[in-house]
This record gives sequence, structure tokens and C-alpha cells, in this order.
Amino acid sequence: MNLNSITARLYRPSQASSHFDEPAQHSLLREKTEVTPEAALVDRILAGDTQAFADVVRRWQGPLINMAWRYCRDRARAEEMAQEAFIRAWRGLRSWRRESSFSTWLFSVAANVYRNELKRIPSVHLSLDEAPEPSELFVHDAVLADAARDETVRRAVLALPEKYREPTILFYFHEMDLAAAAATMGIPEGTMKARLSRARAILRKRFPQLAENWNDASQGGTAHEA
Amino acid sequence: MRPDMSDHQPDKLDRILAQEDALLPSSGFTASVMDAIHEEAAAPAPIPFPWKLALPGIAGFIAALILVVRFGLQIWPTIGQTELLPLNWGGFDLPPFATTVVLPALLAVTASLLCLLLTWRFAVGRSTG
Repeated sequence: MNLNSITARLYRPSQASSHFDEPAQHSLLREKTEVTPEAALVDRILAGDTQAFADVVRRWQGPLINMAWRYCRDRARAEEMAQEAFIRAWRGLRSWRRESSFSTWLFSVAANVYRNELKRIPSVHLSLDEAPEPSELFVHDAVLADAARDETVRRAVLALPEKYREPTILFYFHEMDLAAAAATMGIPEGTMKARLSRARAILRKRFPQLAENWNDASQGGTAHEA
Repeated sequence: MRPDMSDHQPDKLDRILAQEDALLPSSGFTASVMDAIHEEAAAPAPIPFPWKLALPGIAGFIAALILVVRFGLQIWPTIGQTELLPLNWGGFDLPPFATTVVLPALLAVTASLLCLLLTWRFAVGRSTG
């Protein structure tokens, strides 16, 4: 398989919107008057062209695997969960009402699959209190230290209470697009915002020493910009 | 009012959580998914619930349930009485023996026969179908 082509298809929600899909508000208007490419593709699949689903898989495998990774942080399991999401999407293609964009529907299906999979077999992670402290004292290489700290913080997201975990995962997966994250979860944007705010507060409380660094960094950044 | 995040200034926490190295799908991922999809497509459609066969049974069950409840409500006042009184049931005066022994036995036998009949019908239907 051509790795370059895969790399070119790496997920960026903004790219996904422009290339294959459209922002929901625009697609709502357009879909009333014309058939979008994804709608045409889905029509082909529903007409019996099973092989056409390969195009959907090729287009969305990157996003779905990366989304699953954020749920479990286990590469092999992320691929298994993404495969299950594609199978569920294939089974439920008829349930896509085309009122929302294809990506919104697909991410919503995937989020349901990932949520249920992790309820069935929870990923192994520490509780928030047991999450290791960032080990900057023992790592002399600054880049490595930053990478280790970042990974610790990301893993701590999985230790958040369930109510706050998924909004956090989806918000940052959607590149901080609140509306997209809320649509994927099927909850109001206000609820999403409140849960995110609480999640961030929990993380800041858990890593107070990092918060000082963040303040320093942000002040430094402002100074540079100024 | 539509909530937005415009008042939220991205900080280091946001940058850490938003920046993740993207995973590349493994080379056989698409093929693996399509294999599973082809298997699903080739699988026979799930057998629909046999409503045609089940409806008479369900209707019979409901009718029997109504009869039993009605009968139960009628004999309820006689329970505990030393003298069994004749029971008027559907316009007929039934002797106490009939209401306390014969009728329940008949109902039980009828229910058993119905069960046997339904079981036989489903079994034969499945083996020939």
C-alpha cells in the first residue's frame, strides 16, 4: 500500500470538511438541492455495490483509528474498535438521514461503538490520583521531558470521570470545535461546554506544578508576541 | 444563545491535548474491514420473527389469561369459606366441585395441550421449512 497516499489522508477535521464533507450548516442547504458525493457513494452501497464501501473505509480509516486511539491509547485495540465502527456504519447506512453531514453521522456511530466497547472491556488505566507525576527531574533532555509530560497529561484524560472524559476526548479530537464535539456526542453545546470546563479544572488541579509552567509559558508567549 | 469558546484562551493544557501524533492505519486495515463487510453481506438475512404462526398462540394465551383472571376473581370470595357455594359462570350454575377441582384441571390440561400443539407446529414448520 502506498504510504504517501495514506499520509495524505491523515485526519484533520478542517480538511475533512472541505475535501469530502462540508460544515453542517452549509451541507444542510446544499443537500436539499443536490446530491453530495458521499450521498451518491452511500446510494451505490445501498444499491448493492458492497465494494464501494472500500472508498468510505479508505477515506475515513485515519480519523476513526485516531479517534479510537484517544479513547483507549492502545494501537491494536484502536484498529479493532475502528473496524467495528465501520461494520456498524455499514449495517446502519440506511439510518443516515442526510440531515446532518456524513462525517457527523459516522463519528457519532463510532463514538457509540467506542463508548460501548470500553464499557464492555475497560482499558487499563490508573485512577487520576494514581497518575504518575511528570518526571522532569529525571529526564535531562528537554524534548524528551516535554514529550513525557504531555503523554502523562493525555493519559490522565482517560482517568477522568466518565461524564467528563468523552467530551474532553471529542473536543480535542475535533480540534477544539465545540459544535462538532457536541454533535458527535449528541448533547447540547452548553452541556458540552460545562463538562469541558469541569474536566479542565480537574486536570489543572491534578497537575498544579504544570499549571505554573503553563502560566509561565503563556506569559512568555505573550511577551514574544508583544 | 449559542455557546461558543471564543472567550476561552487556549493554554498549554489545550495545546497538549490538541496535539497528538496521528496514527497511520496498518497496511491491511482496509482489506480487513472489507473482508468483514463481505462476510456480513454474504451472511443470510436474519430469520424474521414468525408473527403469522405466533399470533394465534399469543391471542389464545391472552384469552386463556383473561379466563383465568375472571375465574380467579369469581372464586376469590369463596376461598376460606367452610361451605362452597355454587358459582354462576357464564350464565351456568357450576357445582362447587366443578369450580374447585374440575375447572382448574381442565384449564391446566387445555394449556398443556396448547403448548404441545404449538411446540409440535413450530418443530414441524422448522424441519420442513
